Amino acid sequence: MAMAAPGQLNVNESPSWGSRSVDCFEKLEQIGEGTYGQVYMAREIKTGEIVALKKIRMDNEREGFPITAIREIKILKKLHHENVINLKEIVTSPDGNKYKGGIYMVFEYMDHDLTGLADRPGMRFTVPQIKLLTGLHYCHVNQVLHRDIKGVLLLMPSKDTCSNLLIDNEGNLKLADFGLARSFSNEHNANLTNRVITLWYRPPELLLGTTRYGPAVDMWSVGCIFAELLHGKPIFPGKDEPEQLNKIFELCGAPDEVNWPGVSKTPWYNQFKPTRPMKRRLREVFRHFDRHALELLEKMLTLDPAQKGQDKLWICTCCLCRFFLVGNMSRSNLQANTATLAGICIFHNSLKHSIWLPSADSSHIILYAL
Amino acid sequence: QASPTRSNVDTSVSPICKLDCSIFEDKELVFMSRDEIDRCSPSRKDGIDVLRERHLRYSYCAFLQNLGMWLNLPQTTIGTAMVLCHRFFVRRSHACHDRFLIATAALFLVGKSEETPCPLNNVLQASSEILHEQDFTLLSYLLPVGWFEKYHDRVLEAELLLLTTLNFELNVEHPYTSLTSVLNKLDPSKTVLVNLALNL
Repeated sequence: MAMAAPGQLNVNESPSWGSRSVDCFEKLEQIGEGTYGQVYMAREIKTGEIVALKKIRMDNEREGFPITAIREIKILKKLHHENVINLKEIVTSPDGNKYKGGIYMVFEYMDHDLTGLADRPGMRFTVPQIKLLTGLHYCHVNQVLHRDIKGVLLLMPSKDTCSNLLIDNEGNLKLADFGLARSFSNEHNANLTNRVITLWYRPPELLLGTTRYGPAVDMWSVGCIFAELLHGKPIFPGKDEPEQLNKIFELCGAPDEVNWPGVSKTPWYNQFKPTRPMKRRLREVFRHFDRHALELLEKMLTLDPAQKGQDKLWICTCCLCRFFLVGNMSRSNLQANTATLAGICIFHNSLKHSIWLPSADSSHIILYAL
Repeated sequence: QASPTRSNVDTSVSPICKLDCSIFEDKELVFMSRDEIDRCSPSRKDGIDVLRERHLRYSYCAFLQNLGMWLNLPQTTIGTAMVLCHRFFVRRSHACHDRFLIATAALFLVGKSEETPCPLNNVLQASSEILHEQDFTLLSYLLPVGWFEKYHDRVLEAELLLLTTLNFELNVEHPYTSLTSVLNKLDPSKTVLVNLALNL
């Protein structure tokens, strides 16, 4: 038989391998909007399993399949961890024109996001373990930057910004929505865009225009969320970028060559540098926090990204600390009763060989090394 | 632009070495032996014999090498595109899929997945110049009106076909980095050995 003619493609051929069709699932309801597409709750017809379908939005058809989707798929296929959302498969619509029909990512179904839970007063947790840091550390070890960690407990500016931290009914936390994630490598210090991360959780180095950055950007976001959980509301709710930086400086002090060598060389430093001297007030503002929580927060909200990176303690912190939220997580309770909410960081060489348990009165966490 | 001689050398050797027979199916590795590929390739059912298919493989690899160097893409990107094409044609027949269309789409796609993106128009322009062996400005006189738009749509269709056929598995591991690190540990001064190994 002759060869395929130039330009010939047989798109209608349905092979026995490759991606499955979206018809294997029955859509139940739309449950939200991600960074670039709608999310549906759906049931797999064959097994009855409930999943989440995320439609990939095809905005810029001139450049084909979006590069952000390629990154997200590539990264999620690489990451397998109990605190990172699991991408089960990718399905396509069966008709010939897949751009119109759409392509969906199939995820395990998670019951809540952090926003939904915090908004529900009286919602009771049975020792939920918030394991954001273990999930994030796993990403960083695999050279992935998440670049869009956000909590948003209160005062949502608009409805479609929701938390990327998902929680199931057993209290397991998973990091989701890798729509802005990027792989990074230590040797290959490429220029990356600084227009990532929801404004309230964006670190100062990005706000000052840096395009070479690393895992420290995600740590800043985690620090913001951690403080938000303890404080009961977002700690840096800036309206725009100048205001955002100003809020950071007011709490963390103004950056200078002493506490952040090289800050004056960042692209937008002269534009945004503080007009008056500002002291670091972190310990003063959050003095009602647990002592360990404050210590951890001090490290995560360090202005100079290099100090966060070089500090060995910081690395220990990010792989070993877990927060335990004990008891009622309603809004008022969060603010009033920080004693039940223990944030803890303990430095130990191996997480695998230790067990974490709340103390009898739930006021702190005890580490049992094995 | 790099010299054409090197590209010729590369293409005649590398494709067959890189014909790693691993296909990823649902996170599980499926390895096929050379013999299995020769026997079970879907092109066999359409009457394309082993020798002919080998020739076809050479031809799209040569084309990819040429196109990639034309666009100044790194060798890992080009190599990954070759492997994706191999994986594609283990699953689909040469008889009903134009290999150069698939190869063009593969290079465009891998450009994005390897963080070395190249605008689609540049890819299309370069690939049509190579395929028609004509200058691009001349092509618009020679070919019917609207050919470029049609070509554009065909390549995007091929990109999606490639993605669904490969089940969105785009990770390819190359031996280059591990090879150079091992060689550097042995003796960094032996550049001859490095070059020899890389050209193998």
